[in-house]
Amino acid sequence: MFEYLCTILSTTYQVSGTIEPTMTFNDLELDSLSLAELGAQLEDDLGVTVEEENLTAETTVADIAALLEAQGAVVPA
Amino acid sequence: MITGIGMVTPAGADTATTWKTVCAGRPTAAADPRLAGLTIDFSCMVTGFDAELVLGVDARRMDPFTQFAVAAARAAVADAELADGSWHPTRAGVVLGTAVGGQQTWEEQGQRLRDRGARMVNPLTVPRAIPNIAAGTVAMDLGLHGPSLSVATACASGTTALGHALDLIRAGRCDVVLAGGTEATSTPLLATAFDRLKALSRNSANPAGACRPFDEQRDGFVLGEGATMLVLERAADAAARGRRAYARLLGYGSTSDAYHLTSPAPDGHWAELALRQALADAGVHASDVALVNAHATSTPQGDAIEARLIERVFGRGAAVTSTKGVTGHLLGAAGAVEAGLTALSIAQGVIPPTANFGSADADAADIDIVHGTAREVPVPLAVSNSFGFGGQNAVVVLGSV
Repeated sequence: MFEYLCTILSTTYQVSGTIEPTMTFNDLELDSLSLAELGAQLEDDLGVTVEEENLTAETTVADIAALLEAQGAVVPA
Repeated sequence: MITGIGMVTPAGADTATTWKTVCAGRPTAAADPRLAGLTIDFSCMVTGFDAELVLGVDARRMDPFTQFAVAAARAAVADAELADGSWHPTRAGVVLGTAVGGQQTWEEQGQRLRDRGARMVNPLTVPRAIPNIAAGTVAMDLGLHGPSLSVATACASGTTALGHALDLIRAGRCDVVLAGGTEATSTPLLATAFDRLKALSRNSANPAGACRPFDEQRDGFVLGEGATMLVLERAADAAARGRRAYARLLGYGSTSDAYHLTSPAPDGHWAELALRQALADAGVHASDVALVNAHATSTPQGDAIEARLIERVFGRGAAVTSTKGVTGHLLGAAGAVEAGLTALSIAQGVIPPTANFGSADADAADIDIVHGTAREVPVPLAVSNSFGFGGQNAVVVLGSV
């Protein structure tokens, strides 16, 4: 899941450099609009629900990966 | 002065290709997979335009009407040879016309709401679709901190935008203005809605022959999509940086029929007044005009009224063309496309033919319609007409440099 998140963050959201699990979305410089987009994209691609309070500027990549895995999300083929 | 032209149209994803296709009189209407299964299943589509290739990943945040506008604006600035930072940010603005705005986004997200529920509606729906976002995005993309205006006068929007841009330059409020129009309305709901108004040609059997301005067999217009942006600046500023211009934007006229929701006033009086206002604003005489790029969308009533007013003002003294026979009707972008083509006619001394024109309608029998092949002739002075639903009329006058 972490690798999947890294891929969409670096391609769709143009995050540059190495993405570490402990980095927050604030560290990755995603603005509120991008976070809203990302939440919608994850729900659409993975068929899960991502509540706003679970995807904030302070959320780490590892946090959201764990949340998605806990909901049984499967990385699309 | 018009010092830069950027075009993304059904006739080409760039200005040179558009001009070549229009001069060849080659219609672009064809079966449109986005409209498959509908009564109107064809349109004039933009092909050869890869939004992500041109605009990068940010394209995902833009409705096609914004993608076309931003691409055209970038092309216009490059064509004008205006480097980054070559204008004072607050002295540079954008005036952009659109009749409808982000229609594709509204329709797609409405469908998602019905099919998959509220959580599947894209949170960027509003900023993708509101009509002013194309102008706002052009300003963001190019760093224009002066006025950012969005004009909605239906099918006159692009021409109205040029008129207001001209006024911003003449009033001394701006040094550089990006002005034009954009539209992306080949969508199921819009195609069906225009058809329900009986505004569109139903010639699905022969899409390429469907748009027939001034022809006696015309039966309605064909939807087109795309954008055109022009760079306007003062002659002295263009000369100071050694930049050649295509043409001068000399005058603008604007009136309202105040008559009917969709039908033009039958005698064309108010449209004619807009034309005469534009000529007066430019300080020129009708007898000096060599070319009229007509609004002529290929509707039975609209073309007839316009043909008669052209005859009253110009007789056979001005050549008349409708480039919509090639491009279809780009609604709020139409006036900008046609003003751009008119500027090229002036610069190149070439008048494109009216595609699909065979036999003139009785109302158009006494005007000089260019058809068959392009006419190579000096064009020192030209007008471009646009008329919109709601009875909104706009005309610009262009002259040689």
